[in-house]
Amino acid sequence: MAQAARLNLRMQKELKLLLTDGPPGASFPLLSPHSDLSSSSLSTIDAQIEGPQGTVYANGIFNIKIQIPERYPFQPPVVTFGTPIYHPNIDNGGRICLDILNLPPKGAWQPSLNISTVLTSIGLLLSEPNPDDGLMCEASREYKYNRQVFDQKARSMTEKFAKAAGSGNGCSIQSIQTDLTPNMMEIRGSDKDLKLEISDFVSSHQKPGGISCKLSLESSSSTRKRDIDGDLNVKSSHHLLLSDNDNLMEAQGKRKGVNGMLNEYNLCSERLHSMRQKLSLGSCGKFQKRDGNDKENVVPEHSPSLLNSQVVSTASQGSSLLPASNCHLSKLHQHQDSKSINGSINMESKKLHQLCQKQPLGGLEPCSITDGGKEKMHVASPRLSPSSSHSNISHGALLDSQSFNHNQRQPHMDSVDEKGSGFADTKCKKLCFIGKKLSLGYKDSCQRGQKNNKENEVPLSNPQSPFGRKGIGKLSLGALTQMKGSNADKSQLLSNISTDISNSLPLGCNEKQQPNQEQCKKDAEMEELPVYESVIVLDSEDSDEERDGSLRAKLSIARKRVVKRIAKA
Amino acid sequence: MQNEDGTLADKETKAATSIPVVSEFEDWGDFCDDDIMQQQSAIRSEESDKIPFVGDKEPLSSLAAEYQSGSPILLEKIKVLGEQYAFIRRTRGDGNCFFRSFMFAYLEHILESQDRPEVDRIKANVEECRKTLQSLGYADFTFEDFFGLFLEQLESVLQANDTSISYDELLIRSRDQSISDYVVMFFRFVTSGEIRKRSEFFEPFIFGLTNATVEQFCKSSVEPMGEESDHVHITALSDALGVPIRVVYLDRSSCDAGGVSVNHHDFIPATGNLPNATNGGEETISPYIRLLYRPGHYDILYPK
Repeated sequence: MAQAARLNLRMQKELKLLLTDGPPGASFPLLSPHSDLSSSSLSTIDAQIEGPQGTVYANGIFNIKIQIPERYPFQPPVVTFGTPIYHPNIDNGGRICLDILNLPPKGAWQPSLNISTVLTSIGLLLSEPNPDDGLMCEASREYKYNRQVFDQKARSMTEKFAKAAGSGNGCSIQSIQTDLTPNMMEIRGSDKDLKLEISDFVSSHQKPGGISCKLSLESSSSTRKRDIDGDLNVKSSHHLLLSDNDNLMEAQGKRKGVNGMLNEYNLCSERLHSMRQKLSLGSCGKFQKRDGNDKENVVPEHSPSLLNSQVVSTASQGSSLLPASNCHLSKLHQHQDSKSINGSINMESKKLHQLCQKQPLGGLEPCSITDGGKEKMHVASPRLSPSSSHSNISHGALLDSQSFNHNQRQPHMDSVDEKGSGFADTKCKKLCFIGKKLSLGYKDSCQRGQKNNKENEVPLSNPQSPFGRKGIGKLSLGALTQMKGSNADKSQLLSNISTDISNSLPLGCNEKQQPNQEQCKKDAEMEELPVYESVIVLDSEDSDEERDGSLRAKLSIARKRVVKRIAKA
Repeated sequence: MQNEDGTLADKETKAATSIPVVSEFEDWGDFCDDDIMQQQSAIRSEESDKIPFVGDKEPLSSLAAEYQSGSPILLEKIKVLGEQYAFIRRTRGDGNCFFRSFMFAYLEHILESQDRPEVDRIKANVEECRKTLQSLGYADFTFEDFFGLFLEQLESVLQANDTSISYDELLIRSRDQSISDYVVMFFRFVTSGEIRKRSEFFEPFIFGLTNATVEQFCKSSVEPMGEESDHVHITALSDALGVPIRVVYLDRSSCDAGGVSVNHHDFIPATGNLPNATNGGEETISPYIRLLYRPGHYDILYPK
């Protein structure tokens, strides 16, 4: 008996059993027990599986395509999801990371398994994702550390793609894909230009940083946009990852430049130091004001923000701010205004993209300077706080700063292994340029951030550990929280109350993390996301981390707000 | 020899993944899968060009030639082996060599002996195995094809009916992957069923061997194709089918300075439901399945 005939016979038997006594939740719309199985082609089976009750996939119907290889059951069936799903172990193409779908030694397929057991396993995988062996980094991380966000995304994906309308899904993927592609092209194109520039003008090594951040912003903000719409698509995040790589490479290139221009950089940062203090002090009063506004969720908060951005600009104008960037900044905020009125986020962020692309290179210099200002803010505030009340922390921070330096010495291969640690590396390089003080302050703030973030269980003293993702998760969290801290610090600096931070912070977070009860609040929060992106434009040094955070959507909206405020400083 | 496949694949995998990790971190997940599959199939086809599933009968001198420049102990042992055995038949070192050797040796034995009582006896045992698997919760269709194919082969080596096959046909079938693999899988099912059925008996051996539970062991080391066989597998298969097996060990161990001897171990099936598989009192049974074991690989031996 030929193999094909034998396989066909087996498939007939197997399907008959699947149809009469299949696994719970699975159905086969194209097959019926009465149809003549022998006549139909059995190499591909279309199954549908119900999202398990009590999970984020509940009430969803997911199309599953099962391809039977020629040597089945010696080879495992090829099973893919036809319906987009947000799951740590199922990727954008619908591929499933499940051990029994692969042959040993990598997998655990054995010829004694069958389609029924495979479908049962997939049902179990939906109930209990395995984030430790994640196919989707972002979803895995969210599942582990930010379950709320994960659940929300997964639910909205289920709502959008897996409810009743199973047919139009392919189209939506395609449209989103085409939507994003131009952006990518532009990003890549400008990357090349930038690299050329690095070789030509090493002294302007900060430029690529600024641009690369903006570039990443373009794609990340578009993702964000879909995110808000509940429209987040697999494809878009895929692009996102690509752009990540670009930026990683970019960052590496940049680092080379930085190495060469160490002295100049130092000079530059010294120059910046003087104005930074003014900057941070000057702006903190406004933070306070804005804080009050935010809590009330009053829409016309944009006027102060506009003011703030101009303050930033003028403050840094002392060196070489070009009107272009100033204009750019205020434009951004104007867009914010209009959007908050219209409530049309998409429009806004598209404009944002255009702006980013249009902005002349000349505008980048000020960007890096304002960014420098931010760095100073990091340095200034935490440095003072340990002396007042956080003596323990400052001790720990010393140790940490050592580990940071150590990290810096490590070969870059390590960092490339993990995108996350790559960012960490970049960060600490820069920290070291500025000096130990900064890293000290930074670490200290990380510590505080850890305090405040209960989800952060891993000790912070080893950010360069193999668990780079965890490390960076912490780092970004820490950094952002620290910004919040620095915010508070500045105000407290004036009044000399620094212990307040840890108390006030979680309070604020909780309040903002709560589900929105009012539409206006929702609007207010949504409107802030693009601003958050604009922050990244400004910020060439910390943006890696922040973007990191934004990509993973790890950070609560509350923290993003904080960043926004910082940026406006 | 059995290890070749796995280690080669591993090396290739490492080489393939280390490059893209640098720049295409996100992409290597999918890239890697396909790559591994390709590598494995490439290695497999390369291997199959070298040795068929079941080789031709060769005089034992070919074995000696293999070790011509090797260990003198081995050469000495092969000489000793030559006093009892005349031929060797090699099987492919793909991890299934024990089952493949057993399959061919057994079917060849039936073909030559035309031992109908033995066929009837083993058929009864196969029925027992079927019931065992059913009671263990295996879905019928997952194993019945494999059982059917083995019984089909068994029938056809008996010359009495019109579907009977010649020796050459048996060799061709044994080299046909679709048939050969099905029979190997049949033996794997039988082995797995037997181990699970008598898990209390096998548990200590398995735990000592792999530190795994009986269930895990069957899933990871018995049922998947290409998993090598060990003492536990042979004991279980021999017991389940009631077929004695002699395994002759050819390695570099030497017992004393006086002379070299070739060790062998007979796997004598337990009769009835005795908990002890290898009963010392049944040494009188002479196994007609004789396999040559060199560390990691089994071939078939033919006596003089």
